[in-house]
Amino acid sequence: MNSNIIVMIKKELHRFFRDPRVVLTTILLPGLLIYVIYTFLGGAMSNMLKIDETYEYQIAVVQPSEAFSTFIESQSTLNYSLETIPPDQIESYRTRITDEEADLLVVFPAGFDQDVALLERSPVVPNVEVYYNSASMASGQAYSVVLSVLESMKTSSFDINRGVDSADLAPSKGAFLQYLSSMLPMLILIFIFTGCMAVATESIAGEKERGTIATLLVTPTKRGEVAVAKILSLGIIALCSGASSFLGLYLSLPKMFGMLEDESVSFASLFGIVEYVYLALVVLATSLLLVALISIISSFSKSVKEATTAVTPFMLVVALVGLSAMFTGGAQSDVVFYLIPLYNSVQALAGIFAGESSAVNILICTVSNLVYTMVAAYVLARLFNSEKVMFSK
Amino acid sequence: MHEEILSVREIEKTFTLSAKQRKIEKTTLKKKVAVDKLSFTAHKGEVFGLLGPNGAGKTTTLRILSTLMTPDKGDAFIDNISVRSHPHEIRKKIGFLTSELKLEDFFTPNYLYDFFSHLHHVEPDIAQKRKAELFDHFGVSRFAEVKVANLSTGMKQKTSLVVAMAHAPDIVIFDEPTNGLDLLTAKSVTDFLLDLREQGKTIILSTHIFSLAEKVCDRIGIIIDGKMTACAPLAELTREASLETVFFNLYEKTAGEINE
Ligand SMILES: Nc1ncnc2c1ncn2[C@@H]1O[C@H](COP(=O)(O)OP(=O)(O)O)[C@@H](O)[C@H]1O
Ligand SMILES: [Mg+2]
Repeated sequence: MNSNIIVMIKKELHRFFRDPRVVLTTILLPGLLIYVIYTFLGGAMSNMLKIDETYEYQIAVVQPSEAFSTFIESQSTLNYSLETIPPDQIESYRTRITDEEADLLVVFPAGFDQDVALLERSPVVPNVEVYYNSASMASGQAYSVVLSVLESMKTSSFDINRGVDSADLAPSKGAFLQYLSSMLPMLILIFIFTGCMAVATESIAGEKERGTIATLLVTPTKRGEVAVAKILSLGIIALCSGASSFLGLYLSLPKMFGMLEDESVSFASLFGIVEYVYLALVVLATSLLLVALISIISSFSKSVKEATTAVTPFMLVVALVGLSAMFTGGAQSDVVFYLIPLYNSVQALAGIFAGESSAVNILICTVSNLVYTMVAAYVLARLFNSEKVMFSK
Repeated sequence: MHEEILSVREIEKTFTLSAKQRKIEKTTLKKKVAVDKLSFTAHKGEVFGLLGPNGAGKTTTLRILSTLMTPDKGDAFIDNISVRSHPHEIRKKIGFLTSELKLEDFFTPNYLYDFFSHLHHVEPDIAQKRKAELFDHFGVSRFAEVKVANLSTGMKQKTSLVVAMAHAPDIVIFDEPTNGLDLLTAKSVTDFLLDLREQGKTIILSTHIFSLAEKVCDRIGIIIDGKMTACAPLAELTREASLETVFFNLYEKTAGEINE
């Protein structure tokens, strides 16, 4: 790289990283704040998720055993409604459990009571199937109570869930992934934005306000070099800030989803090396583009204050674009969407978090954003060269 | 006479005034001719002073010479290089300074000097040698590692001067050198200018202060309302009356013309 650009980047970074106050507010604080807020939110949420004492558990039984009915009536922990359903409704009831409309299904084999009584003479050990949904607190609760009821019946010999692959009817990773996929793109975009907003307005409008940019512009430094140096150094800072926010998020999300913690789904297990590489590419390209756009807006302003005011509406636009991932439900697959600046980042991120990203789309998103950044750098260079913009009264 | 190093030929610059600016300047006109067919020349090794009241167009003229602005019409040449067509070459030759031109508070004189040396592609050993000389000469050495924010106004100004000399420009363009400076600092800046002249540099400065013009300038151009009303060696201009009297006579004459 051109040595002028390197020297200018060094200077910007020197200024930034040697100033404890700026490092604190731009890098440490975002991550810390997010961590504290999300951990707190997680705590508040799991309190909210405590099951109401008056909750009536929806439990269905197929071919109920008399002993079971007696036992479950005698326990007092659950306030339940027990219905008996015919075997041909097993499938539809399982779906209701997955959809969290019902809590538990207990299936006894035909002639369970006789088989158990005649066990010594029969080679077949009866098997009871119990279906539940671990994503639902109530279902999980009902499952453990009914399990203990069945255990207490085990003076006679029978099996529970023998040969049943998936007694847990939770929609696997679905719900968690969907939440991640729809919320995170907006959060990440906003973190990057806020991370670079203060520094970029300061670095462009601030230099104009203090008259230091003119000192730079009378040196034989090309305007393009100044623009590229500004965008790269601000991009690095934005990335650090974004990384801090991301770390805060990364550490607090599992807490927020505390109830999922001991299940197979943990935040970390969603991500392999490939996902991290994709994420880094998209975040890098997006940071650079955002920084470039904020720099352009700032260069029209006469002071940092004015620049901040001018950039704020843009932040709202970015947040709205970020929100779009929550409405489209999952990532777009059509390549065309990955050419639209900002929207492409949101879609790419949504795809990564849903575990359904395609290398082609990520690449197109990254490359197109880098191209847009170069165009923006060119525009910025033109602005640095424009006396109307640099020396307006 | 020395060779001609700067030649300004009929430059013109018109600004469109914003509503806010019209209010400040108490005018209803949308356009302001800041520089009006201005021409002058400067010779190698002399101090040329643009003298004029506020709003006369001095800053605009110097910004055109230092390539920060382009003239609407006309052109200026430094060492026969056009500011209009080869601004990049011009920037290698000049040092530009204004009193409102600030250095970034966060850095030390040492850092800033190295930074600007580098941007001017000065050879590292030459840069270090020159830095030591300049810092010593202007008493910046003691404060070389103090952040600009913590320097006194005088030391800040000296630092600006020293940094602007990092590439040893032959022509120094200086807008209102002593504006807003206290007496002592103003004195050291004036001494600095005389010093540069000793070294054979060409200096183009602007000012509205008669005493400064009289003290340091070899030649003076009196600029009023964007026009050059007189341009001659100081000695010639002040043969019959003081610079102040000459200026006010010219000013009344021009004002009279405008009112008619
Ligand atoms: N960037 C600008 N935009 C609009 N008007 C300007 C600009 N710069 C200067 N002017 C106007 O041009 C005139 C000359 O200004 P200037 O060159 O700064 O004068 P001086 O330096 O002699 O005080 C003034 O009326 C000023 O308001
Ligand atoms: Mg001025």
